[in-house]
Formats: sequence, C-alpha cells, structure tokens
Amino acid sequence: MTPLLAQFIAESREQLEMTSAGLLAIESNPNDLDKLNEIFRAVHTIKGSSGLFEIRPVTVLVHAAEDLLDALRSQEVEFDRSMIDLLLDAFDQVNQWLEELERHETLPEGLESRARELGGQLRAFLNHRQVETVNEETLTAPTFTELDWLGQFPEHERAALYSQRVADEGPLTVFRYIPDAQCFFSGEDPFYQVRQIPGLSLLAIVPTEPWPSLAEMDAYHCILRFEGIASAAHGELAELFRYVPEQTALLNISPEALAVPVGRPDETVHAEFVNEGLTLANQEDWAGLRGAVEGLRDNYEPETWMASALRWLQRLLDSATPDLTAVCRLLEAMRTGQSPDWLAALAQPLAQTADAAPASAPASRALALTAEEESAFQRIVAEQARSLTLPTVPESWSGRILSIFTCLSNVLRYVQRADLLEELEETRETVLDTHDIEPLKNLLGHLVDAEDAAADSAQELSDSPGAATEVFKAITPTETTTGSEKQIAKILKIDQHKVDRLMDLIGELVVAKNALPYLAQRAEKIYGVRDMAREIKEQYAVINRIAQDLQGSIMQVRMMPVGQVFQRFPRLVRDLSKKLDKKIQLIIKGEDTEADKNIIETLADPLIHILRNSIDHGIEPPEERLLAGKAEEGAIRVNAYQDNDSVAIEINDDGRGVDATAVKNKAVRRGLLTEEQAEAMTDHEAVQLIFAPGLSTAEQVSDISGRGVGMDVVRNSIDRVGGAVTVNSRRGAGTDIRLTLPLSMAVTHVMAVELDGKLLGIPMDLVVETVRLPPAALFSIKHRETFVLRDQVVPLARLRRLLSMDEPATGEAALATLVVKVQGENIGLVVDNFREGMEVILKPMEGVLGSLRQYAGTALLGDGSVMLVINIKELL
Amino acid sequence: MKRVLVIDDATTVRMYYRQVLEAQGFAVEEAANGYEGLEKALMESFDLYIVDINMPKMDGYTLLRSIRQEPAICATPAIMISTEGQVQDANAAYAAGANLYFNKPVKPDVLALTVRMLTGEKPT
Repeated sequence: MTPLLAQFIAESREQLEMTSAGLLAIESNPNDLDKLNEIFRAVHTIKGSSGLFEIRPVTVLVHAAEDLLDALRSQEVEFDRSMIDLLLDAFDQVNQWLEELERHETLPEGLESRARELGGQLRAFLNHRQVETVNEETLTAPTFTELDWLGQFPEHERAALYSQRVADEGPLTVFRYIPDAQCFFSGEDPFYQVRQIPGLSLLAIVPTEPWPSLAEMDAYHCILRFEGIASAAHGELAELFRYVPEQTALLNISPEALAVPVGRPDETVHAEFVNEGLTLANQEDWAGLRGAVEGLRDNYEPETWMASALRWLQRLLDSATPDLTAVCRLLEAMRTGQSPDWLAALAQPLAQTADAAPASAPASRALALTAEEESAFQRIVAEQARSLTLPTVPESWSGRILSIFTCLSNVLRYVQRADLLEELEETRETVLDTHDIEPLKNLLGHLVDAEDAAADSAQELSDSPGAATEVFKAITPTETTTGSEKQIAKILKIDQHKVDRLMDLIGELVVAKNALPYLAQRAEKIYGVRDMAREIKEQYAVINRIAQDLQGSIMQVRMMPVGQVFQRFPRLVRDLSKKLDKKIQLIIKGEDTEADKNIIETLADPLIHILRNSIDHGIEPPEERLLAGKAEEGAIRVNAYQDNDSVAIEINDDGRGVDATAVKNKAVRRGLLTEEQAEAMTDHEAVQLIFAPGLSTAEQVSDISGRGVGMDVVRNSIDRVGGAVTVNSRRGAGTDIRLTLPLSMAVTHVMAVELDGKLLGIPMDLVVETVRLPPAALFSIKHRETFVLRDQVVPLARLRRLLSMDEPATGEAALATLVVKVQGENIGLVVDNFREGMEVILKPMEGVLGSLRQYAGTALLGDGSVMLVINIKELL
Repeated sequence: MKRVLVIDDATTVRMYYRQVLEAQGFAVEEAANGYEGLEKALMESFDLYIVDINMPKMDGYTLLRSIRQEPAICATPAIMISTEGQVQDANAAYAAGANLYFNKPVKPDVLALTVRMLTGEKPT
C-alpha cells in the first residue's frame, strides 16, 4: 500500500470516530454549533482527501453527508433525530469501505449504487433550494466571455428572431445554465426548468464533457449545459433561475448581437471593401453601402463566412435607422474573419475610428513551451487579471499588487522571457506610485496576446496528448528527507508496527544484555581472569541502565489513554438501550488514564461484554425501575484510574444486581456445584460463580449479550495479560465490576525457581516471601498439607506434584517454599530451590501450546535457554 | 532550494503535496490550520503558500487576507486549493489575495508545473 493511502485510511478513521462521537453529542444537544462545525470539518476533510484516490463511492457518500451537515449548521434544515441514525449508518458504511480498502487497496466494482442510495437518503432531507449553500459575500454569477457560441444556431432562425425583435423592440436575453452534476439528487429537473423559460426562442443542449461509453454512463450525473436565447427580459429569467444563480449566466443583448457570421473561411482580403464600407457608414450613406454589399455578395459562395457576414450586414442595413456602431463592428470583423465582439459592444460602444492597433507580434522566445506549460501560463496571467477586477480592502491592496508582480516575474523567468522583466519592473513602480492599475492590466493583456500567438507554433512542436494522469499512480514515491522529520510539530504519528518492531528489538537487547553476567562468570570460573570479569560486570551495569531507560521510553510511547476504548461506548449504550426500550445514562470518567496499547486493546472486548451485560441484564426496564422506587433512567458508570502499578477500571450499574440464589441454583443444575457446597456458600461467593464457564442466569437468551458465556471469557482475557477481575453485587441495588490490569506487559518481573534442574519463572508480583520449612513444621488439615506462618495457617502445595513430576524423597532437608498470594489467599509452594529474580520479556504461548493454560508464557534467558513462566492461578 | 508552505488541515492532503513537491526538489513545510500557517509564514521565509479554505481556528480566506497585509510577506505568491468547486469560491479566493485557485484534487503534474512557474523554478 502506498504511504499516502495508508495515511488517508488512518486519518479518515480518526475523523470518522470523532464524527460518530460528535453526532451523539448533537443528538442530545442539537444546538451545539461548535460540535456541528467540528463534525462538518471532519467530514469535509475526508471528502477532500478522498479525491486523491480512485474511490468514488466514498467521495459520493461523504459528499452527501457533508451537504446535509452543512445545511444543518447553517440552519437551513430542521434537526431531526432520524438524520443522526442515517448519518451514523453512512459513516459505518464508509468505515467498512475503508477496511476493504485497507485489505485490497481498491474497492470492488458496483459500490457506487450503494453510495448513491445512502447519499440519496441523506439528501432527501434537503429540499432543492438548500442544496447549494450560497455565500452572499462572494456570490457572483458566471459571466459570458464571448457570444460567438450564438453561431451554433442556424442563421435563418437567428435572422427571423432578429427581424422580429427589431420590429417589436422586445427584450432579448441570452442564457447559459450549467446544472450541478449532482442536481438530480437535490430534486432539480434541469430540463423542466429550461422548458419554463419565458419566450424560449433558441435552445442548445451541449454536453460539458465527452459522452462516456454507454456502459460507463452514469444516468444520475448531469453533464449537460443548456444555452440559448429567450425573448424575455433579464429579470424574468433571473426570477426563474433564482435558486441556482451560481449555475446560470444571463445577459441582456441587443438584436445585433445575433449577427454572428458562420461559414467556411476564405482567403480573400477584404480590406478594400471594409475601408470603403467604413467611409460610407460614417457618412451615413446607407443606400451607398447597401449597393456596395449587393455588388460584392455574388462573389462569394453562399456557405462561406464572408457571404454570411454580408447577409448580416444587409440585415443591419435593412432596418429603418441602421445602428452605426453595429455596422462598423461587423465591417471590422470582416477584416479579420473573426466574429464581431458583440459582448464588448454591449459593454462600451465602439470608438468610431476605423483603425485598430494590430496586436503586437510576439517577441522572440528562447523556450518552446509544451501545451501544458502554455495553458498554465495563460491561466496564471488570466487569473491575475481576474483578481484585479475583484474588490479588496485598502490594507491588502499593495500586498495583492506586489504578489501579482512576484507571480508574473517568476512566470516570465520560467518561460525564459527575461527580456520582459525590465518592462515589468517599470510597470510595478508606476502602479505603486500612481495607484493606478491600468498599466498592469495592459501589461497582462499584452502578455496573453504575445503568448497566444506564440502558442500556435509551440503547439505543433509538442505533441504531448494532455495526459490526464491518474492521480495517485503518478506520484513518485520519494525518500523522506531527513529534514522533514523535524518539521513536523508536536505530534508524530507512527505506524504501530514500527513501535512494535522497536519493542521487539528492545526485548532482544534486554536478552542479549542478560548474557553479560554469564560471560563474566565464565571469564572468572573457566578462564580465571577476575579483573576481566569485574570489568564485564561494570560494563553490564552501564548497558543495563541504558536498556532500562530505553525500555521505559518506548513504553511511554506505547501508552495510550483508555478513552480510546471508551469511545465506542456511547454508541453501544444508545443503540442497545433503544433496542431494549430502556433508559440509560452513561457516565464515563478518567478517559485520560494511560496504559500500554496492547493492554488497552485486550480491554476492548471484555469491557464491551460487561457493558452489554449491564444493559441487558443489569438495568431494568423503566416500569420495573419505577416500581422498585428507582429513577426511571438507569445509570452505568465507567471509571478508570491509575492504581499504583496498575490501571483499574470500574463498571458500575444501578440495576437489579446479581441474584445469588438464582446463580447457585443454576450452578447446581449444571452440576458445577453440589447442593451442600451451594448451601455453604456466601452470597458474595455465589456471585463469583458468574465467571464459571457455561453459566447464564438470564432466563431468556437474548441477542444482545448472548447466553452469558461471556463472563468466563472476560476473566480469561484479563488473566492473560496479568490482570484481575472482581465482582460485587448488591441484590436490587446494582453490580460493580472491577478490572485491574498491569500498566504495561512489556516487561515482567519473575522469580526463577529450580525444579528438576530446570528453571521455571513465577510472576514476582504474586510472590510474598520465601521460607525454608523443616519437614517437621508440616501438618495436615483435612488431608491437606499445611504449615503455620506467623500464626497463620497456610496451605502447602508441591510444584512437582502440580506438574505431575516425580517426587524424590527429600528426607529431613528443609523444603524451599515460596509463599505466593493467589486470589487474596497465601499458599506455600514447594520448589527444589530458589534462584534470582529477573526481568524478562514474556511471550505468550502460541499455536497448539496456547491451550496450555498452566503456563503464562515463555521467556528467553541470557544464556540462550528458554524458561517457562507458570500461571499459578491455573495450576492450583 | 525553493521553499513552499502547505497549509491544510488534512494530513493526507499535506502528505500528498509534500510527495509531489519534494520530488520536484522543493523544500516543503506544513501547517495544519490558518493560525499555525500565519505563524510559520511570519517566522520563516517562503517562496509560495498553498492554502486550503476550510480549516479550524483560522480559515484560508482570513489567512490570505492577513498575509497580504503583512509588509514582510505580502508579495509572496499563494495558491488556494479547495474542495468547494464553485465560482464564488474562486472569486472569494482572488478577493482574499490568492494568485491562483484550484479545486481538489490537483493532479500531480499540474501542481508541479504550477508551483514551478509561480516560484520561477526553471523547467527540468
């Protein structure tokens, strides 16, 4: 996977999590505008980034969600609870697609219909007027840059319209309407809209992009443009298009603008006729001009451009009072063979002088530009000109002008037109001195013209096919420069695998380091060099300290707030309580408490299970709660805090509690307990039975918390990371479950003991003390060996027996006994001999060995041998 | 080496610009919102800013307006790139002080070429 895609997935997940949490907050407080903005921005970010990849379904769906959120935050649509459900669904779907993307790097075909379906549901909340949010401050409709496109309508139709309008002096308005590509999802019907145009005279429907092949065509993606002429006033059309002003261009035109000659170009020079015509026109000698036109007309084939131009000239002259400016313009146009610029004519009447300055010839240029460079150049220059037409505050005026000059001078350098830099510099001085931007405008125009002409030749040189490179394939992976790391501020996001790898390496370092004491021993005992041995030991101390620091630092990196896991809870509680018709308030505290990432990950499933149990079995339905004199709304509290070297998480509900009698009865029925045992059991002990495998107190199996097989699984997974779980329940008043977990399971302190010549590890935190017992100190109570330790009777267990090993007769030798605390009780464990305490990296048993619950895992020792670490709880 | 400051709240997008521009031999700095961007712009010198519109703390328009009012940095060209894709955005971008406006996503070759041109970095 490309790092960019990986980054996208990671970032989007983060944003989605934030979004889901935010939506729940909105649900309880729809007026929280800050939250809404936050969500909007998160969704907006995903949409923006998704465009970098070929993942249309994600883009489409997120776009729809964004539109709805945008309408919500600008209060264009009323908040509605069902929106939240739908949005959550949509984001779940996106999440699922991200997973797919992570696995396969692409999305399968055919998801877009699903995206559109969900997107359509989201957009259903918007009625069409709210689809495009319009920022009043910046609203400007697109404008026409030329009217040559009118030439696409047949000349005779335009001619008919022309004469009609000249006769009745009615209004004419040209329009161009480019519906949003997604308009069908906002309830718009562009075709219907167009048919409503008053006085619609001429209409063309043009695709804005090449038609895709039939198989790829998306019928819900509008790629049409509507343009034409209406015999109606500007205002009437504006009224019709008032909801989509940013998609429409409207312009009032005079009938002369219809005079766009079309036809085959011909080579003949018409300068003589044009000059003569202009003279006649300026003398208002219409009859003379008409005669001249008629004399010339037969020289041209009817389908030529010139013939068309002459026909139009004739029409202009046919009017009772021909429009001098229009006639002059058309005549001027004949000189160049280009359509007359009617748009400019509408803006400012043509100066009566005949001779326009010919466009300055392009200066010689050192560099032949590619088509892409040419168009980029054109665009940059044109956009500078465009920005000059927009208003700005006085404070930024000179900043804008200066930046435009910087751009221009850089661009000129790029195209190697250093010869123009001097002119540019002079213009800059003038503009800044006089505060008159006219010279700059002229310069911009000049630049475009010059390049325009030069472009034609450059075009021939470069035959590159304007390649639309697929975006993310084209990115060349680059080596990250060393400089770039330090540029990233405050927070560094690291792939977890990298940290894990570092962790593994440190583990190996610790093990390798542990080899040094062995080496020292060998140096002393086998080679007899004591000094060397001492030096090795000194060095070992140094390395040991560094290794410990290293371990500490990397553990800090792996620390994460437990809140990560809690994030899913509000959604869970909301969904389940809705399903069960219960009212539940979730109160979370201590999300900031930190623990090792692995620990937190093991925590997720057990916690969710406990929570489900509380919701399903713990909290009563509202009626039952009211009968019991409790508040209608139940409360579940989740509280995390650091407790010495461990993290404690308490889940507490005020529900009905665990029915100890019911648990006992069920345990007896299941054969887990004899009647007598049950009889002797306290309620507290009975409640602990919920951790026994295969026990469920719920009379009905529900699809929420299942058959209650969960609690033993909860205990197992907590045990596996060296944690503990306890439960306390008060009948009718609620249940408290407390999980304690080590802060980190990276390094385990174990006490090594010898058994049959081999080393075994016992977790140090269980070890209370070591004693050597003379056999005489042992006595039996109920067939069980015990001894007295400081006035307390402690049961004794023999490790060899527990592990089914032979027990050689020990005679009168003292028994090496390790006192360990298991589930709050002291137990003596007889081993062959004690060895040192040590720090090891505990690797859990894997594969088939994973089922050997008696062992917590293995650890590699400094001399390269493997030590098994015992899981005493299981063993006893 | 020409220096470009990229201001966008999406990490993915910043990473994308970085990849494209570093391959072209530019030094790229990042900022995650307008406020951070303005701070960086004022403290270090750059040859070009690439600015997103919708960002937390300070949006792209405000950032550009502020840049154009700071004598020390006001002459530096700026590209605004956003998702909106509507005419009013382009005009608002220019009104705020952008020199060029793009819709996301900008293709790598277009981005590379434009940045080269606006910084006067000669063609390769």
